[in-house]
Amino acid sequence: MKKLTLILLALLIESANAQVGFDRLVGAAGDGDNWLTYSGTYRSERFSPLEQINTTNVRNLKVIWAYQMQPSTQAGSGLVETTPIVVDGIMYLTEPPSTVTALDARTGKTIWTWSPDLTDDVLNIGFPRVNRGVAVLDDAVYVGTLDAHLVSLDAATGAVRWDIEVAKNETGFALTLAPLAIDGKIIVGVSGAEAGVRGFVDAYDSATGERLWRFHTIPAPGDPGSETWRGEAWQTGGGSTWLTGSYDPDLKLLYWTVGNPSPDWNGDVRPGDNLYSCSLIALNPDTGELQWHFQFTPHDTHDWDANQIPILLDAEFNEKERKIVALANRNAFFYLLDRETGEFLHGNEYSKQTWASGLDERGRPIVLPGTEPTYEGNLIWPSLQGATNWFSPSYNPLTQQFFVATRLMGSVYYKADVEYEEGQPFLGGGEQALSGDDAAGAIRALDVLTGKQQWEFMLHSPPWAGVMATAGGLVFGGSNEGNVFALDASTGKALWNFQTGGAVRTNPMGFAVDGNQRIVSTGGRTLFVFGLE
Amino acid sequence: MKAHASLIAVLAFFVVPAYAQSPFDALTAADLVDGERLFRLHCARCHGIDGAGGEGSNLVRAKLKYAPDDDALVGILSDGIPGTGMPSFWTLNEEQAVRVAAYVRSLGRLEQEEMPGDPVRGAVIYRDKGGCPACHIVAGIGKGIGPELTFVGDQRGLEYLERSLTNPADSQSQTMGYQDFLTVRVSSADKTVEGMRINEDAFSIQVRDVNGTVHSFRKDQLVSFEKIFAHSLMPEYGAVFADQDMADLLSYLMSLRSEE
Repeated sequence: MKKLTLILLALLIESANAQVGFDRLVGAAGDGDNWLTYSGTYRSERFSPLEQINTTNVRNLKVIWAYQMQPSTQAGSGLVETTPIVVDGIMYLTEPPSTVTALDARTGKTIWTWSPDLTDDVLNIGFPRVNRGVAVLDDAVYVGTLDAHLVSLDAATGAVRWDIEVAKNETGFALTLAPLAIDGKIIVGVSGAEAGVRGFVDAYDSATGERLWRFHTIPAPGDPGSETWRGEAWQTGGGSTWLTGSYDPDLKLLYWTVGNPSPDWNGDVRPGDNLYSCSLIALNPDTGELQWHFQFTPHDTHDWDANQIPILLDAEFNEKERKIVALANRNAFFYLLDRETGEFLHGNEYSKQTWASGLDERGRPIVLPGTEPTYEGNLIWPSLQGATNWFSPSYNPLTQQFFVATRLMGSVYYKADVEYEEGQPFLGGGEQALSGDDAAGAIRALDVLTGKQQWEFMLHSPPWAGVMATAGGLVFGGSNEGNVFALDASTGKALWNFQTGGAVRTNPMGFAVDGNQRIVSTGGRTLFVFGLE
Repeated sequence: MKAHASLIAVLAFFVVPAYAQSPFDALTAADLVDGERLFRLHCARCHGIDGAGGEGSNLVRAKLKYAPDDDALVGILSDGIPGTGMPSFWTLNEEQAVRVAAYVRSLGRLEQEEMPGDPVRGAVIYRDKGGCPACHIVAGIGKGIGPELTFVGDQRGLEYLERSLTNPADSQSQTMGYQDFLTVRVSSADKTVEGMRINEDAFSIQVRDVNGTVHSFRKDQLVSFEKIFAHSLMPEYGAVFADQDMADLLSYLMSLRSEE
């Protein structure tokens, strides 16, 4: 009897722990039926290897089920930016501001839902009350909350395993990103640069919530990089880390992006390059030590966060096999870096910009004079929201195409005097965007190794939704006007579209259940799951 | 009946009803300046530095969808608007919220200018000689092809109103940067329609012609599609009215206000 109990207990523990082990996350690219991380794989390709839905039959795509998120009692939580995760028929998504819901991926029926106890005075300075999704590891689901906590939930029931405070929300910190789960660790970054926080990347023990390391994105005096700051400006220097990074388990390097320096638009109070703002940083996942960095926009004064998804790929570049990281930046340049060393390999303008004449041989922008914000206003492309933003690009490794949702929009940038006050906006200016008929959007396909545009599909307005390519030769995307659509990846021609009735502000993702491929998007507060049957 | 309705609108201008107290009553000019400063700090990121909209709504208008009165506007600042991107601003204290709200209200409330003529006579010109109700609604009367004018005096001043009558193409308003009533010429295999763009996305466009009929097109079925900026389907009235008629008509339009 005792032996039987022990065997049953062992089986239970095994099944509980076997759900999404680290090895399964490493092998996610070969597991198209599931979507195991925010960007699909550690390489962040946001690529579905499934091809049941393809260029010949996508016109027959229809809604299989829909899930309506409940209105939050929390004011200002209307925007949905989540990418669901799907594990063995269960979908885990977040609803604004920080609710986690598990659904039956076959039918859309709710299995459990969990909400943190947020008060209405929770701070979100410089961004809406959104959440972009969860991470899964072993038998737990991890979510960052608006009040800057990281919470581990039991994947089967939604019960809280642990709940830790990452940082003080009262000073402007919040978590809106989907955490990244690696081997026994949960990696998170923070929002808050518009409140003058000092940003960081943290690693937590997935089992206990104990903090393992913290890397400050703004160096303290004496640390490497501190020579790019003057006086006390580093203490309120920004550099938030509000988007999920990528991971190379072979090189054992984490790739994380860093946001704007604070205050955003008045650079007079923070002379210098302001490292590691607007940079990509490569960190040792065991220690949090910086291995290399690359700064896209030194001394940024336009809020051009580098918080875009870094996509990892291996390819021959200039007759040499390279491990590459590709990133389409908010500053309107597309970059290829060697991801072992951070060496600049290539960069080119992929969207209209008027602030730099180009990049030098090390990838540093050659900034044009007179392009900073002024008290009177200064018209510059791209706008504050950038040529692209947090919403995801996609990479098809079969065709070496890089797809990016692009915002064609300029802004009049204003500078203003500013003083830091804890828990208050720390901006130093503002913008008036050229919106409406003076702006547009486009889905653009680039040859990943040259950055050259292959085609574009025009959108009515600058998008807030990402893209996903599939092995079926398709690129899925969404528009502010409520369209979810599929483009032919080889030509950019629209092959299918569906009007959701609400703005699409999410990244598409895909999975399969019962052998049927599914495509997921949202419109307004409704999540739509599409399929052929 | 039409004249009666128009006259009611005119009379409303001359009669001062007893309104409930507004939280803005005690504010000084300096408070409004501070409201503008706070607006730029807290609101301009979404609503634009001059409130004309961006990611957030255009606030330079007389009627705000979620704020029917001044108290409601202050309430939005403290509570936000559930189901939208508008957060609550608990970082503003009550006095600051009132100042910001007053500044926002001032964006859409032009001071009453001196009228160049007789608004009562202008109401008749509006109806008869101008034939304006054929395309515009005032207080429920007329046809809704051009913009509704029931409270046009709240938002538009004399100079703008005169320009919109003499050179309508030079006074096109915008919503979120999109030209309102943009003239488009659209051809499919079966028909060609010239009218006003009602809505547009990457895949379709909806057009209302000058008879008020709505036409829906899929873009992949269009033979041609032309957007005609700096053009209006409204006729130019400069040559239609004598000076006094124009002055009276402008006075009538100026009198169309929500409250005085």
